[in-house]
Amino acid sequence: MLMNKNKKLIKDLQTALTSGNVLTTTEERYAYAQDASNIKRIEHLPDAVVFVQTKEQVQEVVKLAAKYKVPVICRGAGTNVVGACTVEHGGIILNFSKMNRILELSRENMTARVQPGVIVGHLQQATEKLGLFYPPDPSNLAVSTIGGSIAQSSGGAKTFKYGSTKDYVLDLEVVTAKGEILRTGSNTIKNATGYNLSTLFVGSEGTLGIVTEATLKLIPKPEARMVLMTYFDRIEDSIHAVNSIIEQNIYPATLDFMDNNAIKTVEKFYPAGLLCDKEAALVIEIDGFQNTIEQQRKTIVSILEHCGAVQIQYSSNEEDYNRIWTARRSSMGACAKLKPNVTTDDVIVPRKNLAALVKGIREICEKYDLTVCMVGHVGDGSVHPQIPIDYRDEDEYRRFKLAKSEIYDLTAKLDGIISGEHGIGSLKRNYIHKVINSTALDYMRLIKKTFDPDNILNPYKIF
Amino acid sequence: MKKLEDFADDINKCSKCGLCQSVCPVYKITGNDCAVSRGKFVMLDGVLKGDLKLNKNIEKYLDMCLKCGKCKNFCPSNIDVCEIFNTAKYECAKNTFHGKFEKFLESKWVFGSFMKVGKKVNDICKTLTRISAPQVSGRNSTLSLREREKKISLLYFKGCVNNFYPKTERAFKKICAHLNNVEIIELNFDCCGLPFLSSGNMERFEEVKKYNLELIESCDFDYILTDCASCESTLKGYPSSGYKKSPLPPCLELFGASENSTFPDTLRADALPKIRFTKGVNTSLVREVSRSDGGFSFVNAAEFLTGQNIKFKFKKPVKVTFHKPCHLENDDFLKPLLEKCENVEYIEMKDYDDCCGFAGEFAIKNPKISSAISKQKALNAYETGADYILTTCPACVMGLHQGFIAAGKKSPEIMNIIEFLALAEFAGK
Ligand SMILES: Cc1cc2nc3c(=O)[nH]c(=O)nc-3n(C[C@H](O)[C@H](O)[C@H](O)COP(=O)(O)OP(=O)(O)OC[C@H]3O[C@@H](n4cnc5c(N)ncnc54)[C@H](O)[C@@H]3O)c2cc1C
Ligand code: SF4
Ligand code: SF4
Repeated sequence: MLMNKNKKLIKDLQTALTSGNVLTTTEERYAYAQDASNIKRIEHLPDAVVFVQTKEQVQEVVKLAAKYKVPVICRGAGTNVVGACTVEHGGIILNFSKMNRILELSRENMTARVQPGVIVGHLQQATEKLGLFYPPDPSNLAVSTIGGSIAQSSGGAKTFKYGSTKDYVLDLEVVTAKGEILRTGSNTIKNATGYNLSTLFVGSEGTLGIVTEATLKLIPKPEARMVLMTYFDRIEDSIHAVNSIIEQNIYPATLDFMDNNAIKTVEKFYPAGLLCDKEAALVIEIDGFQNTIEQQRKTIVSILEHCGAVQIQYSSNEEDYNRIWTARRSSMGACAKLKPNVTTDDVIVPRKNLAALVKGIREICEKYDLTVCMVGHVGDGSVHPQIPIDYRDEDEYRRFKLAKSEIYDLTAKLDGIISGEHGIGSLKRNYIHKVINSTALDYMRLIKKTFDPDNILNPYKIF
Repeated sequence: MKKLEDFADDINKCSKCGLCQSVCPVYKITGNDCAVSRGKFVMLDGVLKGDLKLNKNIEKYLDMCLKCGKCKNFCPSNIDVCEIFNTAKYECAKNTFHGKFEKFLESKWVFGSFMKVGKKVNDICKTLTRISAPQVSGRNSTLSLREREKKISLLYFKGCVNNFYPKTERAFKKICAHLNNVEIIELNFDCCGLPFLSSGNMERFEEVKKYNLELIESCDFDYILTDCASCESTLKGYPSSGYKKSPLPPCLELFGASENSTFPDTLRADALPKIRFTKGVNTSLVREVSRSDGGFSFVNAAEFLTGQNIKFKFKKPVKVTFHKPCHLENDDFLKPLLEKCENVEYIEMKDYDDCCGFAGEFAIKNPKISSAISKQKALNAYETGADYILTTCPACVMGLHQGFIAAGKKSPEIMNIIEFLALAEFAGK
């Protein structure tokens, strides 16, 4: 009986999409049961993997899923790190990699209308050609898609000044669980007309509806930019320096930091002359009109000196700029060389509690005998603890799980939240109650039920 | 021979970050995760864990790979993707019927005879066309050390294409005829083995490798010379020992022309006077060469010529563009070499180092994907408005032709850069 239903579903999918767009072999389904969360063991496979190119096709797929009562799991690049597109109850993997056209770029409106499979980096390049700028910049923007970054409410290094994906979504075209078309907003910069459904869909991880088109806000591209890098003996000093910079009414685009372990690991694998005996490094990017850069730099340098910073470097050309950024961005790659598997996390607290968070995470990891390299966005108060482990070491994996749970407890205690930009997916859902109160969770469940009564859209993710 | 299990650690190292999608030419066309290294690693990991069998469904995706190495160079976890895929392919092919049939075709008996016929035909043509060439020694050159110091000996690994259709070979020799003291050694090499590697025919690969290595080791030379990027990269993979920097060959004295004068059209290339190490050898062109215990240095024909004092004069102004083969380790020679050309304007095409989409067997097994990749390549080349598209690999020449057919555009001349240089009038610097 079950077999029969499955066969029929696949046949119907093939009729709707042509067989070339439906993958059904065990091996293909196995490959699509994984995402960048790198789950340890693949236990459930999707029934089929499909590629779509139009919203009509998406509607067809959703209608078939509703008919056969199977889940639909959207997938962009599959690079989320929380298991948001892993498979737990079979279903259809709905791929947007081929639905990737930039439909319209308007200089006058300063908006972009795009399909969900458009790669964030491609959109950035295209807008820059027009002198415009799409700021949300997850560090893997060379692959991550607009649909995925909307669904995970992705942020990036520039979030401190420019905000994250949620601040740029003006309007979404969404296919609902019943296969209807819903528009969440309008093609205008302001909108006070009814509930703001756009924000509801941003960060919903594909559980409320399927985005088939997005209208995004663009801003003018800053004329010039410069990056500075410096070191501190104490983490508190680096945070104090950041606060002082902001107090001087300077608004850097990026205020990123690396802890001692991250500095050492990067230097070990990608030697760039980093100072390995320092507790913290700051990477500060400033931007704006060319003639304001020098002024900003001078003020920042004097503040940094005052706060005990050593070896202040800044970029005077594109090459320096890339060199400094490469050091910061190599941390994940360098970390990956310590142990076979590297895990990353994303916790965030009010900035005043950041030093306590960083130190607390280090203590927790020491207690469980784990290495941790921390990088983060100080401006936002967000930390990415990267813990290299070997999945095949069962005992280490157990300690890792315990450490994670304690890190989330600590975050909650410090008035923080357990994801600032990666989302919850399946990996963090057991911890969401630590930071979201039960009334709020109940309302979230009601919202899910309203949009998706049959629970077919990426079921059981988030909570 | 390595087994898939031997790569368990490497496969486990893949963090599934998916960043390889951004560079993989096949992913760009198919949008299919199974076609890029991440998906293949998930599947191979499944095989090692016992969840999956290494069967034709996986083999299909192993074949759907250009072995261009783009993902390998890029991967934050530094995984040697191609070696793993080749090994997996080997394990697939050894069990399937078509794998066995392919092996039969590639066997020394069938493939070897085929190559021999090619060689014969070529030899006949050679005697007919009678090209002027520098001294060619048929075998082990037995020069004394003193003599050796005065000469530069290039062991020419010609590659299969030259055996059939020696256009590049002729061009190279034509240019070399103007160089003093260059000795080109030709031996009866087998195929470099790349086609066998990609079809998972490891036995045959090991066989040609052993045969070629024996020939190389039997011989005294300064550099192994290639005119095909794929042959060079495969040969470099033979010795498993480390890499070492070694300088490029020195600049040789010119023969038959004084400085700044044009060479006569034909040259007698018999007498080979002394070698002279000119000062100011282009030291910026130091590159990585692989050295086994036997000590090999590699140079490709274009690099070699870049280091020489020859000028290439073109009668009419021409525009050229260059396609960088995936297997070409570095193209530092390109600009200095083109600067030696008079009347030549170089226009870089968009994504000049993107794959041409051909990759031998890949094109046969995945014609649609191959043609889509080639088409994009051709369009990028076409946009430059160049009269000549230059490259350094015969398979890329085919890929480019395929692309122009797919794009429905009239193709400019497509050729190995050496053939292009040979069209010029040569002069001293
Ligand atoms: C190396 C690395 C670095 C990273 N750096 C950052 C960073 O700096 N900042 C950051 O915020 N994140 C970062 N991430 C996380 C990841 O990039 C983001 O979560 C990303 O934006 C996901 O995009 P994707 O296209 O891969 O989405 P996927 O992983 O494919 O999907 C993510 C979720 O979106 C849903 N989805 C996809 N398309 C649609 C659609 N059309 N409609 C509805 N739902 C949809 C999926 O169902 C899933 O729930 C990083 C990840 C990696 C591997
Ligand atoms: S880039 Fe490397 S580590 Fe990342 S998914 Fe691809 S093969 Fe794996
Ligand atoms: S070798 Fe080239 S074609 Fe093959 S997976 Fe890597 S990038 Fe893709």
